[in-house]
Amino acid sequence: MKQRFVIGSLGAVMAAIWLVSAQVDAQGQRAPVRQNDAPPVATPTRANGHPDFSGIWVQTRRRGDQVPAGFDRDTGNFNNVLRNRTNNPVDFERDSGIRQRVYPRDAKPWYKPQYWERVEFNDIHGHSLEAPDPAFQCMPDGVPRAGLPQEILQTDTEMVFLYPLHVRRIYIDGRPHPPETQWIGTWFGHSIGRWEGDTLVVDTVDFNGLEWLGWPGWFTSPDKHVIERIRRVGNTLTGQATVEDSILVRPWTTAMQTRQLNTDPLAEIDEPLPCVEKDLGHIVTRERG
Amino acid sequence: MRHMLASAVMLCGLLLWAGSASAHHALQAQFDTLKPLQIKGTLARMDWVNPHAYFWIDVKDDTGKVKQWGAETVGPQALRQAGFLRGPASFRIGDEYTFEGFAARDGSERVFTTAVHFPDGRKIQLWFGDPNAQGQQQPGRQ
Repeated sequence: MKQRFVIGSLGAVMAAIWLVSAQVDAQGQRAPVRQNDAPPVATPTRANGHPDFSGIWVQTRRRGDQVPAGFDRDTGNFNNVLRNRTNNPVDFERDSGIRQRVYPRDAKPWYKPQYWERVEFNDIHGHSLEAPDPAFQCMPDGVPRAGLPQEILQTDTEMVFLYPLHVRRIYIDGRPHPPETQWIGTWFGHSIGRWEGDTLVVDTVDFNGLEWLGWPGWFTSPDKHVIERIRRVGNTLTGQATVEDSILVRPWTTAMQTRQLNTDPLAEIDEPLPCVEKDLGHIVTRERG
Repeated sequence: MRHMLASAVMLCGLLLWAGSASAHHALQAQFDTLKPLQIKGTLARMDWVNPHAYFWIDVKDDTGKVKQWGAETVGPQALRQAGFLRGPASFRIGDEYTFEGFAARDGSERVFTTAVHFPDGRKIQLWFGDPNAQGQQQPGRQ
């Protein structure tokens, strides 16, 4: 227990240092003015009048543009050493672990007291065989952890969300969810969508209870019910999800996620490579990073 | 400072966001960055997969006995951006390579790759810390 406290305190101090340094960094930088300068882009609509979300929503590099800095043409050597906060390679990942635990108090899901120990246990043992984070085991992220997709294909009756390894279908043809007696328990659930003005409201049920809401041990139950609100304004896509679950004290709302349309007409997404976990049996310390 | 942060954030992107299929884990939980290691051997096979690609190297010891080592690296997308431009086709099974990296904490025949020496003399360095700074700060053990 004492060890946990020490680790927690250390984390808090480092988090504070990180936040302060990040703020200084932000202040030192001139704010980008691109948004104001850019000409307004009309939100494309389909023939039925609803917004069209189709497109690639991640930035890509064209083939041939992938030569990194550090390439020495004379020797053919690449020197891809990047520097981090302290020039200590370990701190690079340690920072990432801290960032993933830094949330304002109200931005965390509030679990009922009987589940607090399990969340803490998950957080500590998330990269061990005892309570592996499903994402660490190459399992799907599920909803809403997967966030906005890489690419969206849209018809009048269906939205297809393409993720690096998974496909999610959202039915917008007016069908209801199947009755609970026909639920099958899935990572991405059963999703139906409807339009509220220009906002797509997606309702999802029928989860398997294996997916986590986030990295710090935020587990879920099969009772989970997710409502996402996704909107396109010009070339900007925003999404936010609210999660109801019987193990939570109150619904939890995710941070707003924003994506810019990839406007390169020749943009391509790399082939999806499988995710194969090979390290779980070789993890020695509890550090997750 | 700003550049360091930018680099750290960028590599975070490479490691953590390169496909949300990234089941990335903390390097230091599995490998000891204070124990550099070099292995030389024949490339037996490659796992060009997320979240961490693996190279399996047949290494001969002094007695001629062959042991297979696993050289772990970052994921495929980060590897290509780091200079392995043709992906797995950047390598040839059966050729001899030297891998530099860090030893596994559990003593197994695994190494976390920081550089690869090709048979033609090319070297691809793949690391996100300043190698000259190693040892100046003692990474904490938890």
